[in-house]
Formats: sequence, C-alpha cells, structure tokens
Amino acid sequence: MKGLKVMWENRAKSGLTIGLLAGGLWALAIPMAVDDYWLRILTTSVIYVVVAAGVGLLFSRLGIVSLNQIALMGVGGWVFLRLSYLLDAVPGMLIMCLAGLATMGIGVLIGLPSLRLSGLSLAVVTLMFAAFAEIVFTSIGFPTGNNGWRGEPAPGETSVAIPSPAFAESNTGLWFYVVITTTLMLLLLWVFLTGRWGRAWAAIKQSEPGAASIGIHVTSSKVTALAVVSFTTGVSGALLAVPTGSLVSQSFSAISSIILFAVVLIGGAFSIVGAVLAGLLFVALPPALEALVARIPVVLDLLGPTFNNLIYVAFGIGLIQSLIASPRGIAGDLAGVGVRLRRAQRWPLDPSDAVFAFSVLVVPPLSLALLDLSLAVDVVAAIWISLWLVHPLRTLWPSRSPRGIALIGIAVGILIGALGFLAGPWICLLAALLVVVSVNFLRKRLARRLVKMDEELASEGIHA
Amino acid sequence: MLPYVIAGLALGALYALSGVGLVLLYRATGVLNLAYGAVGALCALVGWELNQSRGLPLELGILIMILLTVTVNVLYGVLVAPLMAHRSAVVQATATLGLALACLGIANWYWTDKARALRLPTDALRFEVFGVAISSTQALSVLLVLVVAAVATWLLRVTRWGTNMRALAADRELTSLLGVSVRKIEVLAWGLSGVLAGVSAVLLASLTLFSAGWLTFLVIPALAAALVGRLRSLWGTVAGGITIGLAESLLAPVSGLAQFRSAAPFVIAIAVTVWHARKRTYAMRPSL
Repeated sequence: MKGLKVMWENRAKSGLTIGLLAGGLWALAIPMAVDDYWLRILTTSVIYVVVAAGVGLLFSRLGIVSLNQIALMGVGGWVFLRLSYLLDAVPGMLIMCLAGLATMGIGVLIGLPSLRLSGLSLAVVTLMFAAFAEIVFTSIGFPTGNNGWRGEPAPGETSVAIPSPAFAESNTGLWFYVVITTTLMLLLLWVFLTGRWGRAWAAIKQSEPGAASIGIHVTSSKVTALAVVSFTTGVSGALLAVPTGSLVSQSFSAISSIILFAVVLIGGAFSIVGAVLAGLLFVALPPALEALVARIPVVLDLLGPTFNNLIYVAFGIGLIQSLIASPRGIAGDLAGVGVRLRRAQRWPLDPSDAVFAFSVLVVPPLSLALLDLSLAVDVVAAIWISLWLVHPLRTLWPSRSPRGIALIGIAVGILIGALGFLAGPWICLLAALLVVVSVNFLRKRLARRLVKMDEELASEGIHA
Repeated sequence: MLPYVIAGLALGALYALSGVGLVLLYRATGVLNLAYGAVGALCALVGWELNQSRGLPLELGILIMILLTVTVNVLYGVLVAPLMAHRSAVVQATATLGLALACLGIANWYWTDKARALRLPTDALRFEVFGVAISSTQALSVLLVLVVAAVATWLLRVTRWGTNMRALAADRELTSLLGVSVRKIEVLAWGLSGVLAGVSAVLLASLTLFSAGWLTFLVIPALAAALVGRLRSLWGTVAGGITIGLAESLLAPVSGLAQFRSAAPFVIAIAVTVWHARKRTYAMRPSL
C-alpha cells in the first residue's frame, strides 16, 4: 500500500488523471460520432482491450507468453451464462466477478505446473489448452437455456437470452456499461502493476535468481500475475455475453488466441495505448477493411472474397517484426516520436504538459462529439497549428513578447480554421501543412544566418 | 478393437514423426518451430494445386512440395531466426507463430478452409494381418518414424554434424568461436526439419483430413509428443506420439468420450508436465 501511495503522489498520478480524463472524453464522444453498427464493433473492441492489456502485462512485465487468453475468455463467458440462468436475482456485476474467479482458478491451474518448468513449456501448454478449449466449446456449446449442467434447453423448449441490465439496453447504454467495467478492470491491473507485486515482477524480469535472493517468491509472484490477468480476462469474457445474452463457440478458437498475441505485440505490450490499439486491430480492423475494400471493386476483384485472411499474413509479419525490431510496438514508437519531438524542440510544449494533453487528448474527441466531421477537422487543425506555431515563431522573432507570439499563433489558427470552414476540411489540412513547411523553412534559414553571425562575432574576438 | 489399434498406431507414428522433426530442430538450433504444421499445410496445398489444376503427376507434386517446405524453413532459419538467436527460447518459439499465421493466412486466402482429399498411390495397396486390412500408407508411417528416429539419433549422437548441432543449440557464439560454420549447421537443421514437416504433412493429409487449419493445429499433438520426450529425447517423443495416437484412436468407439478424443494430446501433455514439474520442484528448492 505504501508503494501505491508513493506512486500516487508521483508522476503516475498525472498520467493516470490525464489518461482517465482523456479516456472519459473519448468514451463520451464516440457514441455521438459513429453510427450503431460501428458502435457495436467498437464496444466489442473495448471488451478485448482488457484481454489485450492482460496479455501485454504478462509478456512485458514477466516475459510470460500465454497463448490461451481467448480460451480463458470463453471460460469466463461460459460460467457467466451458466450462473446467470441459475441465479436469476443476483445482479450481473456480481455474477461477472464469480465468472472471473472461476476463470482465475482455471488459468492458475493451467499455468502452475508449467511455470515451474520453463517459459517455453508454459507457452506450449497454454497453446494446447487453447486448442482443447476450442474442442470442448464446440462439442458442449454455450448455455442457452436452464436445464442440466450444460445449460441447454430441453427438446421442445426454446432458448432464452439473458436479459441485459436495464441501463444497458440501448447501444449507447451498452457502450457505457462496457467502458465502465473495462475501466474498472484496467484499474485493477494498474493497482497490481504499481504496487508491491509490480515491483516483484520488475525484479523477476531483471533476474530470477536475483529476485529470489532478495526474498521474492518467484513462482508465487508469477502465479499472482496469472491470477489477476485471468480474472480480468474472465470478466471480459462475461462482458462479451452481455450484448446478445449468448455466445458462440466460433468466437473462442485457438487461432484467435494466437492472433490476439500478435496484435498485442504489434500494438505495444507495455502500455494501455498499445492495448487499445490491439483491441482495435483485433476486432475493428477486419470490418473496416471490408468496408474499405467494398468501395474499391478493383481490389476486391484482385484479392477475391476471402481477402480478409491476408490480415493474418500482416499480423504474422508484424509479430516477427515487433519481436525483432520494435519491442514496444506501435504505442512505443508513437511515444518515441513524442520524446524525439520534444528533444528537437519542434513541439512547443512539454508533452506531459496539460496544454499538450488538452490539445491532443481532449480537443479531438470533444470536437468529434459536438461538431460534424468536417468542422471537427477544421477546429482540431486550427488549434494544433496555433499551438505548434508558438515555438518556431519564438525563434523567428526572439524579441517579441510571448503573449504577442501566442496571439499571432491563434490568429493564424483562426485563419486556417476559417479557410477550412469556407472551403472544406481538405483545403484546411493542406493550408496547415503549407504553414508548417514554410515556417520550418524560414526557421532553418534564420538559424543558418544566426550561426553565421555568431561565427563573425567570434572571429572579431567577441563571444556571444 | 484391432482396427482402432492399427489406425491409432499409424496416426501416432505420424505425430511422432512431426515430434521428431520438432525435437531435432530444437536440439540443433534452440528454436521450437510452432509453424511446423502451417508450413507443411501451405506447401501441401501448393503440391495439390500443381497436381489437380496443372496436371503434374502426384509424385512430382509431392517432391516439389517437400522442396518447398525445405525452402520456406531454410529461408526462415537463415533470414529471420538468427536475428533472435540471442533471445530466450520462448521468444524464438513465439516468433515462429508469426510464420504460422502468415502461412495459414495465405492458405485460407487462396484455397479457403475447405477440406480436400489427398489420395496417395500407397493408399490403394492393402494387405491383411489377423483379418484386419492395413493400407501401406499406415505401414509406411510406422516404419518411417522408426527409421527417422534411429537415423536422427545416430546423426545427433555420432556424427560431427550432430555434435556441432548440439553445441549450436547450447551456445551459438561459443560454437562459432570454435570454428564451426554456424550458418551451415542451421541450414542443415532447418532443411532436415523441413523435409520431415513436408513428409508428415502429406501423410497426415492423406490419413486424416486435408485442410490448412487442421494441419496447422496438428502441431499440437506433435508438441505434446515432444513434451513427453522433454524436448530432448527422440525415442521419448516417439513413445509419446504413439501413445497419443493410440489414445485418440481407442477413444473413438467410446460413446460420450468420442467427441473429446482430440483433447488427448492436451491431457497427456499436462499430465507429463505435472510429472516433470514435481521432479523439478525438488531440484529447485535449494535455490528458491
């Protein structure tokens, strides 16, 4: 608990606040910005974000490769459905927790023996469990009624779907239900990660014998990680059953566990942003590609109707590429760009600064939610341009006051926004690009001139 | 009962053959190739396509297909695997999942996941033992695994190549310092494993089901067999594979369990892992 307090008081606090704020705003904005079809797809993506975060946690913090997370999700979903038919009066959240606990038991049971052997045997055994679970799910099916231990309706009876919670009946209500549950699960992972266990995991990642020598029980630390991750995975499996009140075994195939692992590594195993990217890649990429390809008949003719399988090829190559060259995935690369921009002082403000967070994380979702798409692009472009201009303008006119520079930036931003409003978002983006390029060009010339002046002064024996 | 035993022996022999391919590569390079089934499946589909639509004779199609598995395996082993040679065994194994996904994606895209039939000329040659008809494909499988395991044992234990392979798996840098041509050894190991992958893919496709998804996941019984041999012992792997095949086949007539019989590899592998973990605990206790 003390470690938690220290973390809370330090940097993690601002990261957490910004994350929660931005996440909350995005969560508010999305139901307003997309239609029902995409909202359902994004809802499912959010459910998979928790599973992805779990896979990422195990791999990035402990080096554990667990290839059965989708199967564990199925376990959670199965238990949830079965218990929901059994316990009518109990609230769904409680049943979800029970499903999570059951999944936790199974996850630990699978992991415990092989954890003692080696990471490789854990990977192999979990892969086997994924295949085993696929067989079991296809042959016994998911509960659809309330008779017998399988929960199948008797011949002649019709299957009943579990009713959704009252406030989750509309698509938007469901979205918020899923987002809130997901946030709770992510917070649970966060609490473990920043607390005593997280430090034990960090020590184990450094060196197992070293960790053991300072009194960390290696196996039980690893088992704790497996337990927490299995719990959250089980809960998200239960969450998957909420929208329709039923599940199908096709959702829990062994290959999807492997694909999930691949997208987690591609998205970035170390961060929540990576998990969000992984959830989107896993759930939303195939329908997005389908929608895109349906508009381009040439590509459809070229690739045929089964083109979606080619995503596997991309994921496979992406998995190898992430393992070799980019261990932090896309999320890590993006963060790296932020850091590099900051070092090169291209970006006017510290990325951890509130203004940066505001312009990147708060403004886009808000404008997406409140305005229509083209107007939102205008507004975001205008604000980004005015923020971006601050630093280059300061080097161009070092003598001008900060307030004057900010005013110039805002004026240019408003001009670009107005241009976009009059001529459309593409013109607006083009103008913004033009401003960026020309200001950068001016700045480089000025910098060269300043260097030359410095050299002249130095040759005259005066040091600037 | 006897027909089930025969079918189980043949199936188990093929699991064992795949398992030997896995263990051979693992002992030679330290990479557990989880793409073993997927590469075989993709190449088998190419061979089938050449035979069916291009009218090539079946034997030539199979030969091309085996050459193709060797090529894919060697390309991966030469271009990709060395980049991860210094990483842990689990990372190296995980990377091969990328290869598996890519192969499966191509196979499902071009050929879809429809089941096909692959008839080998040996299927038609049948003979009777104790009143049970045995196809020569089945007999060939059992014979093949025994020969391959014996040859592989000899290769690893006796020959200079085998010594180099074992050295390579233990420490790549030290081996190269000793003047062993690491690349050559790797090409050999990946190539041999590719031959075994190709052969077992053809035989499995003919004896069970010929579909990319199915053949990809046939790596799981093979892995279970390899786990029984602790990823080390070739004969342990053979025994494990045959046990798994027999268990799967003998469960087929048992009503109630028949639908779960494909779970046999998992159950056996878990049991063996628990057994090994028990021993390991004693060994680990002083250090933990």
